[in-house]
Amino acid sequence: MNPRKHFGHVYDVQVTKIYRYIRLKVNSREVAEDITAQVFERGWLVYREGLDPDSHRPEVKNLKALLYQLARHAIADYYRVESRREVVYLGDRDLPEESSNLPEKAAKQEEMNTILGALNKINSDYQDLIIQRYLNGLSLEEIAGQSGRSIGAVKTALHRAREALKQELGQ
Amino acid sequence: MEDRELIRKIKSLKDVKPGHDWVGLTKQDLLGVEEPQFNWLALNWRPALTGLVLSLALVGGLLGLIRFGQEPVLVEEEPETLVAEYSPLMLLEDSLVDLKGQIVDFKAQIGERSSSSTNRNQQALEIQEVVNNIRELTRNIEEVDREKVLASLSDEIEEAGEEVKMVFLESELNDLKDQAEKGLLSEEKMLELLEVDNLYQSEDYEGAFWRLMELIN
Repeated sequence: MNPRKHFGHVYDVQVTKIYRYIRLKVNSREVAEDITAQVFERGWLVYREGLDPDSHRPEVKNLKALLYQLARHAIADYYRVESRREVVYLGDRDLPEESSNLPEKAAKQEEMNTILGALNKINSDYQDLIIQRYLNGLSLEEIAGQSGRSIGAVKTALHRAREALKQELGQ
Repeated sequence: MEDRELIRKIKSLKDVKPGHDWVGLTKQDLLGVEEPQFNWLALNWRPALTGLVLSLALVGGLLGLIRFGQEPVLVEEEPETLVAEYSPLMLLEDSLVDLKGQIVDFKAQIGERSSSSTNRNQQALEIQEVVNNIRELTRNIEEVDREKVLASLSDEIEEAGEEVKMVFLESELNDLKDQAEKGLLSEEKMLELLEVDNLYQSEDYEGAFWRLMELIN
């Protein structure tokens, strides 16, 4: 398949997930969009270089894993600048536009911010696990592959992540 | 709080999505305008589907054996030493791992499909049938897997099955939007596309899928 077309399809399937992964860790849509765009730009560059026989870079075998890796690095870089620390909060524009029922929308926003507030208080590794498994639908094998752990270790860590989240939610 | 309730709350964050316009513009900035290409779907779709259907049949057969009380299968590698006791549940677990691989392959094939294919309606029906079979299969697994040994694997298979339909839906929607941008769709089809897209955006994926089938028919 044409690399541009292939990358385009990967973009179509992954862009929302990568954006969500980033948005839940930074406190603005705009910043999340900028970082997501950078991740895909970098991913496209690495992917193309991997296809070039003259390049020293190995061929990318798993684009999805590469994009998550780039996203993790990009978020770390973002927070490294001036030792930023942000309380992540979702605004009106993060909610589905179709919902016209205001009380319903407010309740939804509150629920989302409550869970997000708790999510941001647990350690970063647990946050990643929760987002990747329950929001972005990665399989245990995929998470294990990305993090270099066994499936058993991922299951255990997921269990601990859920418990930590429950504790933050005051349950 | 039960895990189920916690996961429901977590999943409310699935509503966090980038803006439609931003997604399109960023893709355009990144990759430029795509050239129309020959569709290879007809060549690569069928083997993946056949493999998946065979795996589904195999798992279904194993489930049948377990439900009718098959005794454990003894695997004897050396005459004097019983090396391993391979229970039907373990065989089922191996087959489920294979099945999951087949679903992932099939999903990838759908993801690589492109526009202008014929028989789209037939493909949509085949996908629907596969997804229905996967749903039934995972329900049957719950029946025989009382110790919940396979619960997580079964959940992953069900999720992967649902994603197959999502990938098809997203791929078709993108193709149709491309056609719309190039002015290749009639006004009536444009309105229908808008309706499918609205259903999709409101996460009524089932509704979007069936409406899409009407549109591509």
